[in-house]
Amino acid sequence: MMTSGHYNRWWLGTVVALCLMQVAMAVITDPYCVFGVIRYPKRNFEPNTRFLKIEYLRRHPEYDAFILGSSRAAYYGADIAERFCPGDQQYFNLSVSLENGAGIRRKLKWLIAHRRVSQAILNLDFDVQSVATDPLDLLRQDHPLVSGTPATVFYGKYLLFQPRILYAFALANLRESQGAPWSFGNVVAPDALYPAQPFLDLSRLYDVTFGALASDLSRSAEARDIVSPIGLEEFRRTIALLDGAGVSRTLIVPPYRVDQFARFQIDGFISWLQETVRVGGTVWDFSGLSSVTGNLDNYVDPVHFRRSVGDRVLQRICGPDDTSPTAEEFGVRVTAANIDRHAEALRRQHAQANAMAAPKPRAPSRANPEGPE
Amino acid sequence: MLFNSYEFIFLFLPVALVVFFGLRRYRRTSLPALWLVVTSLGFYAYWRSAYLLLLIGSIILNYGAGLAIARQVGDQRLRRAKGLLIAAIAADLGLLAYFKYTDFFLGTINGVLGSDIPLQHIVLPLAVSFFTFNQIAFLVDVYRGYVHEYGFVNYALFIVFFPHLIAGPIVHHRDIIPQFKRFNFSFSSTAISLGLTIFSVGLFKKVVLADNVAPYADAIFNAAARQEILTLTEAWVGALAYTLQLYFDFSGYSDMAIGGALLFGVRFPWNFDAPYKAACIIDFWRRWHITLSEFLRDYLYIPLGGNHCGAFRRSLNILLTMLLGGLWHGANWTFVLWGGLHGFYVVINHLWRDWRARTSEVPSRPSAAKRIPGSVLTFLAVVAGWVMFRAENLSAAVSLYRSMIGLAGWSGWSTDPPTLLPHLASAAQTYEPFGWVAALLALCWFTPSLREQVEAYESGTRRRGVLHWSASRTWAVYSGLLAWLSIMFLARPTEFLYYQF
Repeated sequence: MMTSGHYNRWWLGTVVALCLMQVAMAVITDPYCVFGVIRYPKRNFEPNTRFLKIEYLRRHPEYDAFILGSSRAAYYGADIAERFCPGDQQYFNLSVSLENGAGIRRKLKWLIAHRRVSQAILNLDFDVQSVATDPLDLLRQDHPLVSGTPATVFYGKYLLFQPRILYAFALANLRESQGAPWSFGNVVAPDALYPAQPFLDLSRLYDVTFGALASDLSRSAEARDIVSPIGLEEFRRTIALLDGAGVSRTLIVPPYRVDQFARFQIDGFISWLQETVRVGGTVWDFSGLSSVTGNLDNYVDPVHFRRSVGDRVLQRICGPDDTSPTAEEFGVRVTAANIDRHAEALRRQHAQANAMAAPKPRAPSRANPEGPE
Repeated sequence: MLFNSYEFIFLFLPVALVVFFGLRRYRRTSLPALWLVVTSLGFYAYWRSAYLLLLIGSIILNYGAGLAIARQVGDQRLRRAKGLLIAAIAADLGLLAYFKYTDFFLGTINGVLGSDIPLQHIVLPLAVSFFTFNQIAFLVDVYRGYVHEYGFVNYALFIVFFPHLIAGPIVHHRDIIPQFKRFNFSFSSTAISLGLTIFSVGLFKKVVLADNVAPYADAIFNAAARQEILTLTEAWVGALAYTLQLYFDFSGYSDMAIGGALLFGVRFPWNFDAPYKAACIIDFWRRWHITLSEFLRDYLYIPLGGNHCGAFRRSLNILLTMLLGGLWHGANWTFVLWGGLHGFYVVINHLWRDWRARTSEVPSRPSAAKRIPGSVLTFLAVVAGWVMFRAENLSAAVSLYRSMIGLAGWSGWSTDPPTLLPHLASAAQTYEPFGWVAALLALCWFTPSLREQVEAYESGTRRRGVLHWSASRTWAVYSGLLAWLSIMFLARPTEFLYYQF
């Protein structure tokens, strides 16, 4: 038996000691690769790509053209864009999983504020544009420089991960390396997103502690960037931002697999497309029923098309004008002039897609060499 | 704000406590109580500040009504006092009915008459059921002359004190307000030790136990709502998983409330006492949501006549009490049916007791072996009730019942988890759900309740054994470990099941 005072001190001491141990574990193992203080060996566990890509761009000022969007946009290769699209821009694929309208706008805002941006290719996802970001989804937190979140809060979140994450991370590390699918879309070496660093990087230790605090204090007077929950509203802001900065833009509605397209509420989709065209002017629409979207072999999974399809999309939008009779079979250049005719065609295709037998889902593959499933 | 959130654990609670301890020099004033009122209102407003005015308005009106009733009672004008009481209770119940039951009534009218009255989709103010009940009990006791002079700050604190504000326990002014005169201002007190321990255990129950078994229940009940055919095994896994989720979730919340209040030296009544060990359904209601059972008994069942008007009236009173208790849980016919089902259980239990008393001698403390059949039957009856409670609608409940008794088809003899549990996510089609259900059932049946663990110490019995709490280093480290594990599992806060009631 002990006195209550001793009991309470032992309780508090136990909790604090274990929490400190957890904090140390989080920093050392760093599953999402945001701290970078200690070079702990890691493989297969998907890091926070949003953070790493921005960190990479901070070290590489040469890029001036960007591909943005959700994980679908990861299948538009930056090298293909450089090959087919006019001009001599250097492309960087800044796509990230579950990217919404606000994420695209904020990344462009940061880019325009910090470098010359001449071209932006935006993948517009009808089904993801308005999805809210989960503040505790550690895989999908924007870089504090992009989101405006205090850096201390950003790094603080990564100290608080669940034991199951640590377990999954340990399991992933035990498997043979499967490459780095998160660098997909960019012609960079698989590990290029990770900065070369010493075993113990003291400058990073400063950056994520006192540096983060100093950065927050210096930014405290900045006006907060209020995010709209409506994806189309964020899209309007994005267009205004790009036009204001004189950035050339290409807007793409991706080729949804036919069964996914059939699930859309067609009136909602068409009204979204009409508004997108009204605001954005010209939109390349690859949705609907075509020889590409109707062929399941063109898709890695129900949501993602293959890289070859991504190449065809880039070739279609950037390549020389195709004058063949089947030119508009895959990819329609939609403007205010043809939106009504296109909407009617989409309605017909939607009815056809629904009438088609639902395609059987492919057996999920364990290792997808082309990118994240 | 949720108890199982970083904001509460690392910011709100420490700040509330530190400032509160800092007020020790003002302990004889109402400043500490005022501080707790302010923090509690902040706790409430964090969720939805728009309803803060509703809460404050309700407190002011009920306090005013209480004063007016007390004055009439003091002047022996009982009829006028009764009129005031009825008006105030009607206003409270009207508020509750408007926010909680408008759409329920409109939906029912539309369903019965085939009309198309648009639903209002009114947002339910947080905790409205709890603070309404607390205030009704206060008004009734004022009328009965049980209430002595309470200041407004103490009354407001009794209603809004954050540990019980959102989801109970339903506390009684007679037990709570006098404690505001003896707050604890010392870190070296047993109240703090107990509070830390009980809060840690509650947090562990919620975030580690309830939240880990919840996905199994959700997947299976959702499949039933979609009218998909469940296997016998998964119907039972779903029903048991929900039975365990609800218990660990709600009792965990109640423990956190009790522990949190103890940090300030305020003692709440226990709300759970190993309910799944109950030997009969009457015993179950003495162990499950104890404060609600007591409230319904004191302010509904007894005023209706209780058990003093013969067996028939007693049965009727029980049924009515349980039906209204079911409706209190939510605006859905499944809750009403669940209440009715439990009312039926309790009536049968009373009739059985009466018959046993007439025909044989009933031992006051039956042996363990004799209690087992009753306990098993009670547990099965409770599980059947929870199916109705959780189901999206009546047809989903019926579908699950059919699967549970094997009428929905037989999946054949198999030990292959994907065959047994086809409606779980593929990653969960393992033996893990069985492991969770078995482990949690063992915890419910074979370990002492937290109340037993603590009361042995408090009563001075000082029973020896690792499962009984004592101010020892082992218990300090053990409960600290539970708290840390819970903090690690906090990464995704979920709402408490009882928040919606």
